[in-house]
Amino acid sequence: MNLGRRAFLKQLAVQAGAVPSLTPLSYGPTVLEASPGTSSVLTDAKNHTLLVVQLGGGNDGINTVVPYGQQAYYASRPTLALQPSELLQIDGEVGLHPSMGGLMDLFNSHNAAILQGVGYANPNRSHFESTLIWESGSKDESLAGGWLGRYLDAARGADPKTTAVNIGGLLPMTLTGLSQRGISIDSLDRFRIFPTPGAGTDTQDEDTINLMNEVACTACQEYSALVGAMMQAGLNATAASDTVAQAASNFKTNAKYPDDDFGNRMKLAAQLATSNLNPKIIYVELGGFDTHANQKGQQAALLSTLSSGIAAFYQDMSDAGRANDTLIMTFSEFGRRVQENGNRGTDHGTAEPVFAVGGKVSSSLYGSTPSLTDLDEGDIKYGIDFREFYASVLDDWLGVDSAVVLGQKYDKVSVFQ
Amino acid sequence: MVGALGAVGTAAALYSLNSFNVVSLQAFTDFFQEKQVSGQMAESIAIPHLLRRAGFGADPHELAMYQRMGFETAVNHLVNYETLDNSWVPARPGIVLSYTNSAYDDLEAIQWWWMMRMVNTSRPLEEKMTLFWHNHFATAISKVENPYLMYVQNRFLRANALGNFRDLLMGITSDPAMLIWLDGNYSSKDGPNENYAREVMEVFSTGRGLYTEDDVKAGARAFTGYVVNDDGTSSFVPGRHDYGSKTFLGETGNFDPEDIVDILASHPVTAWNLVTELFSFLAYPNPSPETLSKFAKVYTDSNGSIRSVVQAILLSDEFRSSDAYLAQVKSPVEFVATALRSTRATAGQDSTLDSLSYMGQTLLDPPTVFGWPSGMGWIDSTSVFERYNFPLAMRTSQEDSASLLDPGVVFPSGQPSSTGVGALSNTLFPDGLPQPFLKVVQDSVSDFSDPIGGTKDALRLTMASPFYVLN
Repeated sequence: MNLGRRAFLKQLAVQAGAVPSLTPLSYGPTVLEASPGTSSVLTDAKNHTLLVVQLGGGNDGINTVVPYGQQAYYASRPTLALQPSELLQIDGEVGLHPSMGGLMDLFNSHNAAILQGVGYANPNRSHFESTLIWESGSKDESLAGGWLGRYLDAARGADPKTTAVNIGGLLPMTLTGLSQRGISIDSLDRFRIFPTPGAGTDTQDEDTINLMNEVACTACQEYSALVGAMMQAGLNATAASDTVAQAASNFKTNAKYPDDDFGNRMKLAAQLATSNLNPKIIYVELGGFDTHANQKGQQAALLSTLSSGIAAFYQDMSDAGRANDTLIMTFSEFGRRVQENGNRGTDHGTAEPVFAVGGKVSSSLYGSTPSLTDLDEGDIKYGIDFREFYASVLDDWLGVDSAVVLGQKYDKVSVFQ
Repeated sequence: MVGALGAVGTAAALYSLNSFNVVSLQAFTDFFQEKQVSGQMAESIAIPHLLRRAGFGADPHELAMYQRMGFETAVNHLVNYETLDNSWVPARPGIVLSYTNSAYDDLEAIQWWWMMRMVNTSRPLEEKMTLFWHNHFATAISKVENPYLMYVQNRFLRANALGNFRDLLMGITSDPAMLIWLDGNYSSKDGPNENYAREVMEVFSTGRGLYTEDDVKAGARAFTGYVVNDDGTSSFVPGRHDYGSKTFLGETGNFDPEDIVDILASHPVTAWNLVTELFSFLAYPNPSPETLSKFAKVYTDSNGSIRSVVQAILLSDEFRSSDAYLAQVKSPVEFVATALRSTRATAGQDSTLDSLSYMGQTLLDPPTVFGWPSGMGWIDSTSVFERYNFPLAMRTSQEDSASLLDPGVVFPSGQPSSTGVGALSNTLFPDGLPQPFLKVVQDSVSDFSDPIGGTKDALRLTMASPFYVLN
């Protein structure tokens, strides 16, 4: 009976995690109705995976995609400037940071796009506020939840099994929708309910906990959105745990991941991306970019692990025959000030470059290189609104109507072939 | 096996789920209604509520002591903790710590020392407020990289846990770990660093919305001059300070760090922001402006006495209202500390610290200057698995005699007892699980023949229920 009940509960769990009629979790003003995904633009969108890499802390874009052709670069960066001979040159004006060899290779093999000067009007220089703006896809808090959470709200209307996974740490707001939430996985070994010693079956306590959660999901969330979210998280977790365990045992890789936390997370991302879990969205954060002091070495190490982590993930996807199903994008809450400060670091700035990597991506520089002399309060002016890129990712890659997720239509900036 | 039993199992499960759902909806209604007397918590549940918020729960003995005091005396006892003997709690970690000899491994000894203080202290509010300030002035070992300096900051926060906010803000401004964390170290008149100047307003005092980018730049100049010395202390070096005139939040003068701290600590927006945070931490999130204005007045009238504000919140009608009851989610540290404190059970240092990290909360290593999440932010699939699994690491009285997790109570004469399961469950959650939930736990334990396994089953299932996870 336990096994039967367990299978039944798992089925329920999948439904409970998917049915939009569950009371929406409240995050403030709700202007968006969860609605089924509209007709997908690309016929094979259902096989597509999007990996988002968040660069936490505000990456210095000026020393990432370096505008070495502008004299102002050397004038404003007395200790941080990189010389043309060091750079991985893209053209006569800009070059990549020397520790980004992996990304440069992807650019040269026609699989990497570089969007320059991505930001938004009236930039906010608070980590908290600007992260919220990028994660929600909204400048005025008119859209509740995260942009990929609202994608989940829409996509699960059409396919209840649509999965979004955060790797490591607590679930970011980006993956939190009005009614749906992604799952978060830190360690494959720990992603399950350990059996209680002396239990009748290995799954006795899992069954009982599922039972309590099922009860709470349908009844108790009327009293507390907290309880509803807690129980839904439990049901989603147990529903995914078997698939996740299989992913752990079947994975082999020839790719070289950086030997650090980020490398391990990117490897886990590849493990899950190539498994039966088949997540549409994977989310990984690399923190440490808030380089107010002694930036040079720190940023070099971070960009190196970023670049080689992305290259290794892409190789694993290619080896699995999934290159054309893969899109990797980066973002950071803001770039940094043009003028370096007195501590060999940089303070908070505005627009930044965004990378997009994938088999269907067209290698190019998108948007014009920001001027280092035509500034707004010491910071570069943005050229591409980040939501113009989000809109293309939603419409052209994920196959949902971007207007539903972003609240309006944007002129798309597409990086696809 | 699946094939043979599948169909029968499904039908049985469907039946039991349906009947259970109906019962539990009513059970929840009953549960919350019976805890109230005209919108206020009954005295019997107000004390456990107080101990969860102003501390980390209590074992049955300690709970009975506070119940005998009555609510108001209990609050005063908790708030005026300096008079309480706390000599059995180690004043410092069991390792030799110094700045120049601080190895990263020392971190775990410090984290565990603090966890054990939360579990064992006779001054729970002292540790609770230290945790509050650690989250408010969130500083992380990930950048400071020196455990000794994190320990020094922790002692400072504890010593001022209910002190004056101006003193806290000034002390943290020149705190060596903070100087490293937000780059005040070596910020000089030749190139002022904006990091601390921004966060001291955004996160530590006024909050967002008041200041401009020009205020950030002026503040950065005013905070120049600090350095962390070779011995791990900090100094203000006049030659590195910018003595020029600055305009900051509408005032103009040759401001130095003390002046800026004075302006911020006495600013009415700081009072409002701080009481919002304190009230949300102690009572419930999103309080009304009418409620906040009362406590903002206490802050202003007492010239920033945190003790006065905290005492006023704990004694307020709002704190004992139904809005406050189980209105929060236990943070991982609260989840673990409360379980250990209420049962007097022990658990291994390494496995417990690992569990806390996987749940999302590594003491002395908050993710950003904004500290940890709260409420919904603690809830995700990895953290729920950790919450389900941690209880297995807690020792029963057969492994550790002081533990109140007594298999002899749950299995008197070797057989599982519903009464014993209820008693164990009540130790963890003194308010009492609603009967249908308790029955799920009792039914599961009845399948066990092994007393230790059955005891851990009752423990983990109680802790997996929403009632225990809520705070």
